[in-house]
Amino acid sequence: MLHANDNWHVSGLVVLISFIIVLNVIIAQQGKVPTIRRIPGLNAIDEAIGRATEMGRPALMIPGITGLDVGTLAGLSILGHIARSIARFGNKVILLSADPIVTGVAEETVRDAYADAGRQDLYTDDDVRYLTSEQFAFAAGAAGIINREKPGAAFLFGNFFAESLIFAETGQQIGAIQIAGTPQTEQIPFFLAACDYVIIGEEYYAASAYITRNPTYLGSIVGQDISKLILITMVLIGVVVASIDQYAGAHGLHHLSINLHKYYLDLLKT
Amino acid sequence: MKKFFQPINVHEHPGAFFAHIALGLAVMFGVLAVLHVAPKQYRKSIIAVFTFLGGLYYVAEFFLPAKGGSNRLTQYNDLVANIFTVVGAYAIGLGVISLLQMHIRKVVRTSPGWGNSAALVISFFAMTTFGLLNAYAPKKVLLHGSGMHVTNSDVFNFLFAGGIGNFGSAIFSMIAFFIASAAYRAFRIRSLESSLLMTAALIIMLGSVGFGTVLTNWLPLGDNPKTEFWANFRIENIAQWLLLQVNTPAQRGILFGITLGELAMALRLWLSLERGSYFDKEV
Amino acid sequence: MDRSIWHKMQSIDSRYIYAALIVAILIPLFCSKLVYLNIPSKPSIDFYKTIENVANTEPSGLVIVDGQWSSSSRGENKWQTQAIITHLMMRHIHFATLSFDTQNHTLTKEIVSALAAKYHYVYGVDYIDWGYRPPSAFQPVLKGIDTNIPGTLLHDSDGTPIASFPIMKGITTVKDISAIIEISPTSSIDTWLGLVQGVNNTPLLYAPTAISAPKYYTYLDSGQLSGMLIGVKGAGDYESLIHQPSFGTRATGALSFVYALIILLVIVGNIGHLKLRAIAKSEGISRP
Repeated sequence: MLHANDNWHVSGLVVLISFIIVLNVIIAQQGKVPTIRRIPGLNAIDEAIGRATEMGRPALMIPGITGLDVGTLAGLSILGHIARSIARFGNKVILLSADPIVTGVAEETVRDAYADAGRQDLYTDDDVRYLTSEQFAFAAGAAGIINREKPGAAFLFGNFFAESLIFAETGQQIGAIQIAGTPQTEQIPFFLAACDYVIIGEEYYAASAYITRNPTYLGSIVGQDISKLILITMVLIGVVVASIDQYAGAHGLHHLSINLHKYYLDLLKT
Repeated sequence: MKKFFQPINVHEHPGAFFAHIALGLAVMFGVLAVLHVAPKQYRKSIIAVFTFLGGLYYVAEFFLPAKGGSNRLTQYNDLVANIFTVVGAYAIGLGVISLLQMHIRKVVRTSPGWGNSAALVISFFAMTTFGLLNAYAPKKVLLHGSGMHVTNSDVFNFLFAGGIGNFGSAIFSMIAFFIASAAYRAFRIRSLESSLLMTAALIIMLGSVGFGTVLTNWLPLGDNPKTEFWANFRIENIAQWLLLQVNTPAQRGILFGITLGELAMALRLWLSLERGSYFDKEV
Repeated sequence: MDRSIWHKMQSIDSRYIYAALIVAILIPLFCSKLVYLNIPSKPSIDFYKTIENVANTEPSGLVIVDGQWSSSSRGENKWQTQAIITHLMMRHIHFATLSFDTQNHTLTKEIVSALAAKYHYVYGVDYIDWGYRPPSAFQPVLKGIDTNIPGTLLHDSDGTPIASFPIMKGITTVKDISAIIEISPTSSIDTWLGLVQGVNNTPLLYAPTAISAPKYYTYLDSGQLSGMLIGVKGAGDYESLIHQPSFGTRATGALSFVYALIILLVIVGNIGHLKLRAIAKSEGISRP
């Protein structure tokens, strides 16, 4: 679908969902802050950092391997919060980046995290390292650093692809406690096999809301949930209508079938 | 306006080419200067306006009614994409400078692991040199004699296709080993969920390859209406059923959620509603 | 009760696993005489049927073969590409290759050149190389394919205007394309689905690495994808369907051995795990 007029119903639905999300963000920013349920993987963050600090080992963070896109920004906001916790524990962070722009943003984020915790002395320029933008070269570099630095905790939040298992399994082999989250559904099985806690699907976007308790993020989650309810309702109505359509088709009620397609089933066809 | 931003061949119109570069740099420094002299309370607003305008093109181009697949804004697609590509290209320089600074410092100070840093610096300059030589003088002979005839292009191909390509394949193939050890460790009957996970994985594996399909090959194929019911119990059909009827709805559900999350984040960024440590920082 | 054997069963050293894996992979690759039962999967059969349908109904149509794989995923994508191009040439279907990866252009060109010599395919008449475009041009090029192919792509890989080739006669928009094949380890197919497939319901075929495949069953189910070759098994399936066995077939055999090894390791691990649990329970020890 290239343009809105290819199917105005789809475009209208997108506008409606966007409006709901923005409205809820603004409402939350005005002070009506909602609460969201616990996400188990995120509760383990402090435990992981504490364990790494006790072992005298640094914490490793990887914000994915893509550029500064939506998934990476969500990952960086989570990692920023984690960096603040690490700074409060008085531990070191190693953040590995595969994109130059992300490196710059990550440096700001980690430096500010240490400053907020009053531990600017712990931060060094080498804490945030740009390795390479080449996928498997980055994986090789990350695996090497994990083996040499032996982090006690590893936090993998961002866009990952085939290389994800390489550093997740390497981290597992050196005994690091690992928490991972990615919007890439095909990488989730690998993280599930190699990591201790995994944030699945949209929990990834809810994670930044949960740990920061930021009104903007919380409002956004509410907007997303309302949108999901709308979509679920449409799906349920669609199931009923499609079943009636099957019945109509089987019993020769072609007029009914045509109307069902015209007024509901084919509405969102592009 | 579109003609002004058309690509210019440096060999055909060198004056225009360098004039455009100078103009681009002037615009860039102008914008940075405006940001620098602007009062602090307005800087974020200026950035928000640029962010909004940047995203506005794509939104407007999508919503403006189109005939025959294009509207008044469609012709500028390439131009806008090129602008974003150019802006992104500045970042390559940032990354390279940061990388070289860190590793050259390590080599000079002979810090622990300086050998790895030296290898990186040497590889970087070798690849850059031969990359440029391959682009501008590919056929120039480097080594000749004793049965050898090596050109710049040969060296570049050796380093790029022979080096980077094969190293990438080698690292990718490590995944096979890690999958084996991860599967051995993860697929344990610890709880109902892990048992279901293991069972599904075993069925999919068995249904995907020859040795698994041999187990149920004695069942009918399903081409005969009288026996097609029994074909459902062939392992490859059970595996396909799992993939289509169990995996697919789960993937769809996750896809809905992730797409909404991405839409929400994109809206927050476009409308500068995003908050958090990086976005709340003073400019 | 001696637990050591059960403990060893559930914690086998990774190095032994890796050694066994190497043996499991190498045996079938070197023993080419071994015969395996390979039943092509339904997505592979659908892929094959779509190309056969193109050959039977639109013999002079053009098929786009877009490659976004590089050396890293050549273990799967190279053999898929070879099997697909072989089938296209066997059925004398015209095709155009396009690349958005720097390495892919050279790799695909090598495969096509070798097969073109074998099947007497003539450049510019039976096939064309639209060349390499940078990844940043992916979306604009796809949008351009919808409305104006010659105007978007302009030149082939050697700089010759594509409109000058006989194969491009009558090819202006996506409506003139018989099928699109995407061979990629990334999620680039999402862009083809969103920008191109829906315009004319052009059959869209996908050859991903095995890792990415489960996600795209949703599109197979909805009919937006007409077929899918899944990893090197898909390449092996396709080789058996077109009766041209090659490395894909041998690799499918290797896959068989490897899966058998993994299943054996999982069974051994679970026996050790369950036995230790039973021992602990009988001794009244609570385990974490």
